[in-house]
Amino acid sequence: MAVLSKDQILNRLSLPITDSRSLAITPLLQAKSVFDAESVDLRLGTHFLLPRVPPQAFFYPGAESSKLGHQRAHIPLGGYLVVPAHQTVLGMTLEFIKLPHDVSGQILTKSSVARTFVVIETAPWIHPEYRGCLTLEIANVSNTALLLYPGRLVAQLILFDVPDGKPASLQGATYVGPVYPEAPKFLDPAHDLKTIGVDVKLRTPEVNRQTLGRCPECLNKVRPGTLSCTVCGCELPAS
Amino acid sequence: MTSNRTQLGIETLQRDAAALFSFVDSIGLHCYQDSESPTYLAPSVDFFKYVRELGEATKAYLNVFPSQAPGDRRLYQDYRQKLETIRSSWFELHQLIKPAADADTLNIPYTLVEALTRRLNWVQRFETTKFAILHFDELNYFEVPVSDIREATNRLRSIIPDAPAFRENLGLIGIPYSQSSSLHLNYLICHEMGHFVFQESKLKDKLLPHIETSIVQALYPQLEQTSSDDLDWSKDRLASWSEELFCDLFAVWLIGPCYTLAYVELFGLTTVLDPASTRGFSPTAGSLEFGRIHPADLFRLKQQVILLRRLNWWGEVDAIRSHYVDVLRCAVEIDDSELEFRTHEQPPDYSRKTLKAFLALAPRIMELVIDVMRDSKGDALEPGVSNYQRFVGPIGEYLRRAVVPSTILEGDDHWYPDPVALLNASMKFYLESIEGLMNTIEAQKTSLAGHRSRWIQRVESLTAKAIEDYQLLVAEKGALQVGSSFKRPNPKSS
Repeated sequence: MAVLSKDQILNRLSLPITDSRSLAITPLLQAKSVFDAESVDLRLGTHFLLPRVPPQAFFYPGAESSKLGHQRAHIPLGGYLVVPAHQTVLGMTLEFIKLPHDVSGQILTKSSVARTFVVIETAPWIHPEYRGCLTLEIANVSNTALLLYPGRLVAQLILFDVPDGKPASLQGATYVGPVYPEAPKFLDPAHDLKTIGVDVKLRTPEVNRQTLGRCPECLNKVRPGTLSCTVCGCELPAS
Repeated sequence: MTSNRTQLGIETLQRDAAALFSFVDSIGLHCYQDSESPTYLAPSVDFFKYVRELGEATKAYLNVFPSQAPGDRRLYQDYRQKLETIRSSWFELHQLIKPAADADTLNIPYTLVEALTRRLNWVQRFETTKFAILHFDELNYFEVPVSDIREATNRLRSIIPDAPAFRENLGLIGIPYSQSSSLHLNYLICHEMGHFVFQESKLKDKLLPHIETSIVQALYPQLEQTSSDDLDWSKDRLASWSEELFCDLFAVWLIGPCYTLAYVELFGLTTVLDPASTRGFSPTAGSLEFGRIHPADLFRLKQQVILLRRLNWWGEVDAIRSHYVDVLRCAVEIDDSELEFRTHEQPPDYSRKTLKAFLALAPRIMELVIDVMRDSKGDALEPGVSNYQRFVGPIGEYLRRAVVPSTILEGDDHWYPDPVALLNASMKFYLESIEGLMNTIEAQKTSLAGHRSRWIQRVESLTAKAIEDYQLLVAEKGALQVGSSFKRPNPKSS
């Protein structure tokens, strides 16, 4: 696995979209200056998810978390978002990325930004064939509030070739093609752990709400204890 | 006999003025929407600012209102009427503030609104027009007549000398709150922009002689026996129908057939299709029937198709494989004799003649649209067909791969499809190719409405993002305009 050079990146950008080896980055503003020898600088987008204080004294990583855990915010270009000290926010790159089937990527905080003690990305790996704006888990780990300006360069994308990569169906419909930051989507811990034979003791009321007898995906009525839906085949939350 | 009634005097004026002051003040408190969050489009911020300015002027006036009362108590009653005028004007403004406050950028299709406004700004005389969006409970789109707001605020200005006039070139459009994030149905916003153009251009006045001529011809030879009330009733019907038809045609010219296809969807007109019928369709009760304000749906579609043909769009529409287009084909087959207008307000024969008068007037509405749709040079506004033809294929390829189609690679250049091409190509993709996208995604079933809906929303958000990108890309230094398109050399070759 080797890092793609600037020329290799530009070559990939020059392939038609019908070619599964093509790379797309749009909008590619200031195209002459955003490329480094082996990376592309990316900008901060205009939409954010701000974490809410959960109703309980903890965050429950279950099926309802994506609906309850965040508040949306739109900061247009020219505006700014204040991130208090030691606070986090989900952001997005301004650029939409489509990776080739044989290229993976890693997103890193731009060094100038990192030196202000802002971490732009904590789950930096991007799989081949990914498409979407990149969700940024932004953390202000400094002792002072910081301003984030949408449109500014905040991250670096580094691309790696995956020699054996082959075109395939896009996996994980949940995360294909997002243009706004999206909250994490979990199955309930009870479901995840039941698959390895572990019973979970702590369940929140949200778990019960989720399992009112219908598949969360296609709304088909399902029997208690069923692991997958007979209509759409999706995995069901544990009852 | 003694009376407990309070004598009108300075004290009652003070109390009434204070009550009204509180009312105006409470409205103003809801207009401080220029803080950082939530975010509003600039026209909404301007609308809130205007209401605040008006509120400040009103409150300043009310502060001194009692002290400037006439010395003669017998004149108090007349003087107090001013409070009633102020109150009634603020009642009208009051009902607009909450719908405007609900419509922040997270709750309206702001990229679409901005793109449509920019497109409208190409039309002569509307270069600086802007729209604030409001959320309303009704499942319908409508334009808040600016003339009504001007009337209300002018009543205030007649009393309060330093009250500001309502903003020039600011329109207000209401959308159903439920359509805050959809793209395709919101193409109907263009129709409401048409109402603004119709009213601001005073087109009703221009049409009036033609309306009268049409009515005279339709009623002849019984014209002499027709009362002036009945004639006025007919004029009102023709004026309403004309405005609605104008707005449809205006919208079609502004953004192309995607408006017509969104219209078919919003009003559920695919129900007219009936394979068992020899004509392929069985008009539903309402589809051929004119209402008091609106022409019949199939008539409206037929007129839109006529304009689409005139603008050279129809070939592109005809090529879309969708039952929505079948509805349009059906609409074209409708004969005027099938149209109906039933009302309890007039005898059937008179209603029919009013309808006949309108049908004779319809070609004039088309001419009116042609007159209005001119760019700043006075040329006919480019309808956008050629860019659509150029980019519809590539945009479809991008959407089929769930990629934002804002930068299209063609030869050695990166091209930026314009919003009209994007909106129409996106609509075409939605109608005929959503399965192609879903089939590339693991575990997605085209048979499930929920899955399909998810990918429709995704296509809409990809399109909205492309429209947003377009503005950034064409504004960037180095973007080259070629005809009505923009491009940039591929960074590899530069």
